Amino acid sequence: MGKRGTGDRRKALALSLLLIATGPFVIYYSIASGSTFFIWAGLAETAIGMLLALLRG
Amino acid sequence: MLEMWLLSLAPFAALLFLMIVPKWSSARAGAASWFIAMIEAYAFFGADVNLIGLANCKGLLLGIYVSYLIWAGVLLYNLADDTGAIAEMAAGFRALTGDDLLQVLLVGWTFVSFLQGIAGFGVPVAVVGPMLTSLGVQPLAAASIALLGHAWAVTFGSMATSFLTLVLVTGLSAPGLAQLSSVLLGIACVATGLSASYMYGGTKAVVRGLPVVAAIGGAMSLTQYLLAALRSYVIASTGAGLVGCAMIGLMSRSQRFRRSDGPKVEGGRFLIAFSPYLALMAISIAVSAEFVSRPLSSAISLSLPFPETRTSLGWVNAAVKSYSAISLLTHPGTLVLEAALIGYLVLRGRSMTGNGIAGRILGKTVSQCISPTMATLCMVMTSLVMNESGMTYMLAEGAAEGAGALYPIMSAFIGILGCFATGSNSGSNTMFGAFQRDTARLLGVNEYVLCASQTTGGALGSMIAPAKVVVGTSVTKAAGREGEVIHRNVRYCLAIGLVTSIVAWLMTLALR
Repeated sequence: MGKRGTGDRRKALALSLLLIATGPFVIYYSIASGSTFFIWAGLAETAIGMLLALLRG
Repeated sequence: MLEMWLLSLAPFAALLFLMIVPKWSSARAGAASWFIAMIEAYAFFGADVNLIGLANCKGLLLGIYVSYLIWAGVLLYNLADDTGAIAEMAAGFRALTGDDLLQVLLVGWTFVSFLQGIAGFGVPVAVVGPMLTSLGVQPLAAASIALLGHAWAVTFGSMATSFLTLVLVTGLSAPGLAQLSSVLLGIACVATGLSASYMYGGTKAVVRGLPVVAAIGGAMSLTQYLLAALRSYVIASTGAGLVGCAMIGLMSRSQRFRRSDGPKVEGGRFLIAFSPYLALMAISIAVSAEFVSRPLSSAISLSLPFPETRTSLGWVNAAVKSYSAISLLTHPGTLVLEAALIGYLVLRGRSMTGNGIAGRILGKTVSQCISPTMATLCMVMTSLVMNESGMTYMLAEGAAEGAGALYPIMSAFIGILGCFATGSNSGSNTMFGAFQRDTARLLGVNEYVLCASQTTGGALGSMIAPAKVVVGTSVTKAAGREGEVIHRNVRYCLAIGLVTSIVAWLMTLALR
């Protein structure tokens, strides 16, 4: 893998890490406030992070 | 029942398969097994969206706890490496003795264990591999010895990350678990010393090294046990490795091992190079005192309460007032950062730091830590989804029914398997810690013994874990020969695992 490929992979992992590290908190505070929509939004955010890790990790 | 057991096994099986056959990274394989666990929890185990969401949140909190340690540990290592402190220490060891076997044991068994205590995450293998080749050890043997020599120190290494993960995942009392673990790891310590001698020079080296290994291995095991008994988990491996290095240092002064020619060690420079680690030892010991730790622990503590959740199949997760609390002032990661700061000031005072070193170290640390953090989060969140939806319990139930009274002999091999799959003792403990606890409860045997056996197996698995083997081969000019290193190490790993398993089985008979 070239330098550009390594850099792209690192950026994808950083974005994935950001999504995975914030998604569960969105879920937690949505459950605490009783907002069903944001529970699903938080789950989707976490799942997108995991998908990025799966594709580029 | 069998279908549900197989479904419970699927996330683990997928993780193993993806890491071993197509050789995916642990982050990638962890993400794949997370998807499988999520789908199964929702579709087959009756978990609703709230339970799944909260399980992920608990997994994230646990992952943050472990990742903070990873980042601080790598930062400290980068500071020592960039300032030349690691090279200074290595030169000191090389100049210490003229006996080739003693040099190999010093670097590949005691010093690598000390490094495992303070850094971990593959760093000891990366540092010691080239040092062994510089001592004249063949590249493949150098990679193998570095992997083998550090394995016993992994559980209490890396600021006791693996041990603390096991405590968090199982909810067992840390003091009891620490003492039993250190007994089994002590046996592994002596066994790895003998194995490293055999790997270096065959039976002759074992016979020649036996008195040295017995004396030093005994002293390191005892030190680890005493530090664990004193609840100084964070420095148990570091202290043991340090005692091992000091004992070899003392032996090197004897007529038999003394070096009469070559470079001399300058004690002052060696101590300065050592200053970050000396600071870490001092801080860790100070914080382990009850009158210091109690007020600090309650000063700033980050945690979240969790409500009770239950699946439609009847699996209940009790409400928790404070899950995975991070006490900022006493967290091992904070202690490491404080030591790094003190070390930086000392080294700067001695002009060992160049311009822009802080920025360079931070940049390297960020770049090195993203991948292991991702892997940790993926696997911890998978593990929590499995735990909270009752899958782990289902696995334990099936294994207990299948193996019956002989299960304790299998326990260490499950730890080895977990480490092989996840690349770390922490990953293994996260995956199988609760499984071992639940199996012990179902069989009516001592749960502390099986969890101690689990973490011992997890530590031993470090010598064959592909993620660590790659580190070893890439720094010893043996890249691409990972299969040969695994093949070399697997027999030692399984043999030592068998010995500790039998001891664990005897313990379960004695400690009802």
